[in-house]
Amino acid sequence: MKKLFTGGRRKVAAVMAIALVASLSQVTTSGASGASTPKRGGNITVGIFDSFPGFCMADNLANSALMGARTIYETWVEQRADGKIVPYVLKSFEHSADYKTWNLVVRDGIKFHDGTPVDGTALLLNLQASRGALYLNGLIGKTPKSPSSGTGAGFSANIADVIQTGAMSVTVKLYNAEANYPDSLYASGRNFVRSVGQITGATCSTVPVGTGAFKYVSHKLTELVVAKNENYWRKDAKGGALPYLDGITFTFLPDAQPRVSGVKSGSLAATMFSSASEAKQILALQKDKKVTTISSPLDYYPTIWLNHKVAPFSSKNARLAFSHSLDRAKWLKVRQKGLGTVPDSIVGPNNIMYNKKGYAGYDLKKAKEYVAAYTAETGKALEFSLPYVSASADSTANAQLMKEMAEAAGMKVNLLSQTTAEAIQKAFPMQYQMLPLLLMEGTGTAFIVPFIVSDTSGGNPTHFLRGAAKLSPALAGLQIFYSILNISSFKDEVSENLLFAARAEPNAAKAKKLYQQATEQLQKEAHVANISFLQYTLSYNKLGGVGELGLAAGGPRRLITNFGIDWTGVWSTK
Amino acid sequence: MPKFTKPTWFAIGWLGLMLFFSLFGWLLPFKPWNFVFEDDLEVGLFSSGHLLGTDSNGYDLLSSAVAGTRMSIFIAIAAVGLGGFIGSVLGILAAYLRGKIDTVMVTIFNVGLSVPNLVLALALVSVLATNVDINQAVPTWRRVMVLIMSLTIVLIPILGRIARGATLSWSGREFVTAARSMGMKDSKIILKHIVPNVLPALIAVAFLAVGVVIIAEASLSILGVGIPDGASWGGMIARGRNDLEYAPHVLYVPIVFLALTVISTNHLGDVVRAKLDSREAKV
Amino acid sequence: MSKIGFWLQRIAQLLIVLLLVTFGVSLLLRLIPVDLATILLPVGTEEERDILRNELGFDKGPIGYYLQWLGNFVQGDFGKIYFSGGTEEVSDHLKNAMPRSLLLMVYTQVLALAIAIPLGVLSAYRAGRRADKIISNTLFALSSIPNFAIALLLVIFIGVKFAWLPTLGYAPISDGVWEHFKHMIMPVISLSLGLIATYTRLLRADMIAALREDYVTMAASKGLSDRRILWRHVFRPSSMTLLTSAALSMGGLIGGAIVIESIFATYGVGFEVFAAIAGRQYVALQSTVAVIALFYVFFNLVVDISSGFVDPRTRDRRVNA
Repeated sequence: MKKLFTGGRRKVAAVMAIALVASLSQVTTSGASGASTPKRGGNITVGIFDSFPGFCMADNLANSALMGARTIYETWVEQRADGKIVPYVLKSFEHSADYKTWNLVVRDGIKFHDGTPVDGTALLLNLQASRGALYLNGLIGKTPKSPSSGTGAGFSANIADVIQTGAMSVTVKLYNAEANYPDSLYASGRNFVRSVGQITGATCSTVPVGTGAFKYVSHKLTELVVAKNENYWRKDAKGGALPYLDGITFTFLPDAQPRVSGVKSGSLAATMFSSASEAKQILALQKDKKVTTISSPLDYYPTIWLNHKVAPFSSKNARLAFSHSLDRAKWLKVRQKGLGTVPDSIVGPNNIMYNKKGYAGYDLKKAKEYVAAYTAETGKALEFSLPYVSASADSTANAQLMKEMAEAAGMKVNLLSQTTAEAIQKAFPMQYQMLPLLLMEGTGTAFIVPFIVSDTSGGNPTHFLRGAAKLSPALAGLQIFYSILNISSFKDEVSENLLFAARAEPNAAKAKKLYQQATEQLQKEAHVANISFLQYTLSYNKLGGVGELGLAAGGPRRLITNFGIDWTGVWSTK
Repeated sequence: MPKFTKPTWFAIGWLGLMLFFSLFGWLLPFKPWNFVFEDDLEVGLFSSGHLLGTDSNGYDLLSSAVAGTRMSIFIAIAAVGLGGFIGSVLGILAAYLRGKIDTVMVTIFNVGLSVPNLVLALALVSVLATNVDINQAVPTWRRVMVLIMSLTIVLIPILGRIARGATLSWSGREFVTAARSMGMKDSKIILKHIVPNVLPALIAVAFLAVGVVIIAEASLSILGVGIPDGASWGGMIARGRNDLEYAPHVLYVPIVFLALTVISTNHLGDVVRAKLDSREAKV
Repeated sequence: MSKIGFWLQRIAQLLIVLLLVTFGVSLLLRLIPVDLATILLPVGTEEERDILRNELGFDKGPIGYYLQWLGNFVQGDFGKIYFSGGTEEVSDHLKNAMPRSLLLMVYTQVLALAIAIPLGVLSAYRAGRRADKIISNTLFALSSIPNFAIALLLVIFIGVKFAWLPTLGYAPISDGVWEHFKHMIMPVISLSLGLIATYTRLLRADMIAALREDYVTMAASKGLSDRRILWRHVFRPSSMTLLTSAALSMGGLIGGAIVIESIFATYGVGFEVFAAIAGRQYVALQSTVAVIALFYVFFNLVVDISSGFVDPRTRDRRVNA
C-alpha cells in the first residue's frame, strides 16, 4: 500500500520539458557524482517514509519500506532498465506455444540466509503461498496476524496449477493465456523469494529469510536493520565479494523536513522522496551541490478509487462530474510545484495502456452538467466524504484543494479525518465512498490489470479457491478474486474482455491496441479518476556505486523506482 | 477611566482587535482564506495583494489569520467559560461544605491533574470524535463541540482547585462565620459573601486560562486532531511546518498572532491579579 | 494525627487517584463506538477476534475488563501493539522511550532551575528596580510564546540557517556525550523557557515576602552580609514552593511534551501516546497513560515527603503555578 493521497501542477513549457526528459532518458541525475573505486565496510542510515508492519505474504510493504525489505529479499525475475523482465534468481523461463504453460528453472548454487538451498521445492512453495494454497492447507497463517496470502492471491489468480517437475524446475499452468506471465511473476518487485522455513514457520511475519545481499538483524515498526550477507551469490565486475557495505539501518521519518536536514547534514546517507507531496523538497535538493538526487520516471499513477457499491459513485453521472471537476493543471502547479505532468489518461504516457480517448479531464461546465444530471437522476444533491490523514499537513492540503475543486462544480464534500491505520483498514475491503490511493504503476500491465478487473482469474470455474469457498463458508468472505484489489468494486465486461484478450496477445502492437481500447472504455465510464502522475527520488551524500551494478542476466537495472535503489553494489565514501 | 500602562493598553487593544476579527472578520473585505491563489504561491510578506504573503498552497496568510481568530478565540472563550463555571461551582461547593464532598472533589481534581493536559485532551478528542458510520464525516461543528468539551474537561480540575483554594481562605473569615451564626442559608452565604470575593481571583486566572487553551488548541491541530475544515492558528502552524526551510514567514504569521494574543491575556491576567492583591492588602 | 497515619492516608489517596485514572481511561475506551477487537485485528477472522476479546477481556463488562487489564499491568504486562505483521510489547516501547523522556525532563529541570534561581534571587533583591523589571518583562514575554513556536524558531535559525545543531533525532549517551547533548539542546531550551519564567516568578514572590520577615531584619542588624542573608536566610525557606512546583511539572514533562517530541523526532513517552492514538492502539494508550499517571503520583509523593507536612496553602499555590 502506498502513501495515501498523492497528487499535484504548473507551467506548460516546464511540463513539456520534464515529460521529455522523463520519457527519453528514463532517469534524471543531478548534483555531484560519486567516486568510482569501491570502498568496503561501513554502516549507513537511510531515511524512508513508510513503516515495516511485517514480512509475510499479507504484510504489504509500501514503497520506501519495500526498498529495505529488498536488501534481504530478491525476486525470481527482475526488470531491466528498458522495462523487459529477465530471469534473476531463476535461471530461465520458457513458455508453450499457447502461452498457457510456463516452465521455470531455478539458478544453481544460491542459498537462503538460513543455509537451505533455493530449489524447485522452494519455488513451488513460494508460488503456492502467494496464491493462497498454503494458507488453505493450514501451512501458513497460523499466527493470528497473517491470516491470508494477501494481495499475491489477486496477482496469481490466473494460475490454474503449479507442479514441480524436477529438482530445480517447476511448471506453471495458466487458465487464460498470458503472453508476459513473468511480468506477473515479478509483481512489480513484490513477489519475493522467501525461504521455505520462513513461509511455513510461525515467524513468517517477523523474521524475513531471503537470498539478498543483506541479512535481517532486527526490526521495529519504524526501523529495519540489516547486515552484510557473507555468502552472497553475486560478485562484482572484478570478481570481488558483494555487498560492500557492512550494514544498513532504514529509519522511518514520515515528515519531509527531517529527511531533508538529515541528508544535508550527513546523519542520513540517503533518503527517499515522493513527488506526491514533497516536490518542493525535491526541487531544492536537485539544486543542492552537496547532495546527489536521482529521480524515477513519472511511472506512478495514483488513482482516486470511486466505490461503485454505494452512492453516489454507483452513478456514472456522479463519477463523470467528479472527474471533470478536477483541475489537474492547477493541482500540478499548487501541490506539485510543477514537478510532473497534467494527466490526460488514467495511466501515464510511458504505459502501454496510455490512451487519451474518453478521458474525463478538467471541464467545469461539463462537471456542472453532470452534477445536475445526477440530481435529476436521483433527486439528491451530489455529496460525498473525502477521507484524508489529518496528521499529515500534505494530506490535509491535498484534501482541501480537492474539496475546493469539487465544490466549485456544485458538489458537497465532507472531509473525513482519518488516521493512517484507519485508512488502510477501511480501504481493504473498501468501505469508503471514495479514496485516493496510489496502486497502479509501471510501463506494463501486470501491476495494473488486477486492480481494474472484477476477477483476475478471468472466471476460472475450477480455481481451487472457488472449491474451497464452497466447502467452507468462512472462506467465501475472503474476496480473493475481487473487492480486495479492485477497490472500486466495478464489473465492466467490455473492458474486462479487452484486458484479458490483450494479456493473451503475444504480438506487442496488437496487445497495445487492445489495452488502449480497454483504457478508453474505463475512461468513458469514469470507473476511476485521477489527478496527477508521480515520481520517486533518492537523494544521497557520500555514496559510491549507485546504479552501477547491473543485473545477473546482464543489462542495467532500473536506477530508481518506487522502491528506491538496489544497495548491493553501493559503498560509502565517508 | 482607569489609568493603564502602555503595555496594558496594547493588550486591551490587541485583544479588542482579535475579538473584533472573530465577531466581524467575515464582514471585512478580506479575501476568502481558503481560496487558492495559484499564481501567488509562497509569496513573502508585504507582497502586492497579499500583505502577509501566502503559503505554499496559495492561501492568503492575512485572511487565514483573521479567519483563524474566530475559531481560536471562540474555542478559548467557550472552553474557559464552561470550564470556569463548572470548576468554580465544584470548587466553591467543596471548600464551603468540606467533609466528604470535599474529599471526593479533591480526589476527582487530582485524577484530572495526574494526566498531562495535552494527553487528556488528545485522548478525549480522538475518542469522542469517532463515528460509527465511517462515511459520515464528523461535521465541523461537532468537532468544535468535542474540542470545546475536551478542553473544558481539562480545565475543570485546574480551575476547580483554584476556586476551592480561594474559597477556603474566605470561608474562614469572620463575616462568613457571623453570617452563619445568624442563620443565613448556605446558598445565600455562598452567593452573597463567597462568590463576590472569589470571583476576581477567578477572572484573573481565566485570562491566563484563555492563553493556555489557545495554545492547547494549536497543539492539538499540530498533532492532527484539531479543526480540519476551517482555519485556526494551530492549523496554520501545522500546515506550514514543512515550509520551514523554504518559506518561514508561513510560520511566523500564525506564531506572531498567537503569541501576541497569549501575551495580552497573560498580561491582563497579571493586571487583574495585581489590582486584587492591592485591594486585599487594603482589607 | 500521627505521622505514620498521615503518610498511610496520603499514599492511600494517591493510590485511589491512580486507580481512578486508569479506570477512567479504561471506561473511555469502552465508549468508543467501534469494536475494539476489529480495530486491533482488521484482517483477522471472527474466531481470532474472539480469542483476542477473551485474552484482553473485551468480552467482559467494563469492570471485568478493567480488573483484567489491571492484573496484567501490575505484573508488568502492559499489553501489545497490534499491526499486520505481528505484535510489539508496549513495555518494550516504554523501555525505549522512558530514558529519553526522563533525560529530557531532568535536563529541562536542571537548566530551568539553574537559570531561574539566580534570576529569582536577583530580581527579589532588586525588586522594583531596573534589573527586576528587565528580568520580569523578558521572562514574561518568553513564557507567553508557546513552546512549539520556540521549537520551530530554533529549528529555523539554529538548525537550518546556521546549521549548528542537528534538527532531529535522539542520540543515546553511548553515541558520545557531545553527540547526546547536541541532540538535546534545542528540545531542552524549548521546554525550559516557560518553566524558567514560572520558577523565577515564584521564587521572587516568596523571597520578597521572606525579606519582609523580622528575622531578616534581625540578621541584617547583626551585620551579616547581604549575600549570606539572601542565600541562607531568605532563599532556603523560600525555595519550598519552587521545588514543589518543579516536582509537579515533572509528570507533565514526561508525557506532555508530545508536540516538542514530534517536532524534534525524539520519540519519547509523549510520542508513544500520540502514536497509540494515531494507530488506534487503545490498549497501548491505556497502559502508557497509566505509566504517566504513575510518575505524576510518584513525584507528588516525593514532594510530600520532602516538604514534610504540606499545608493547604502551599498545595494550592503549586496548582496555580
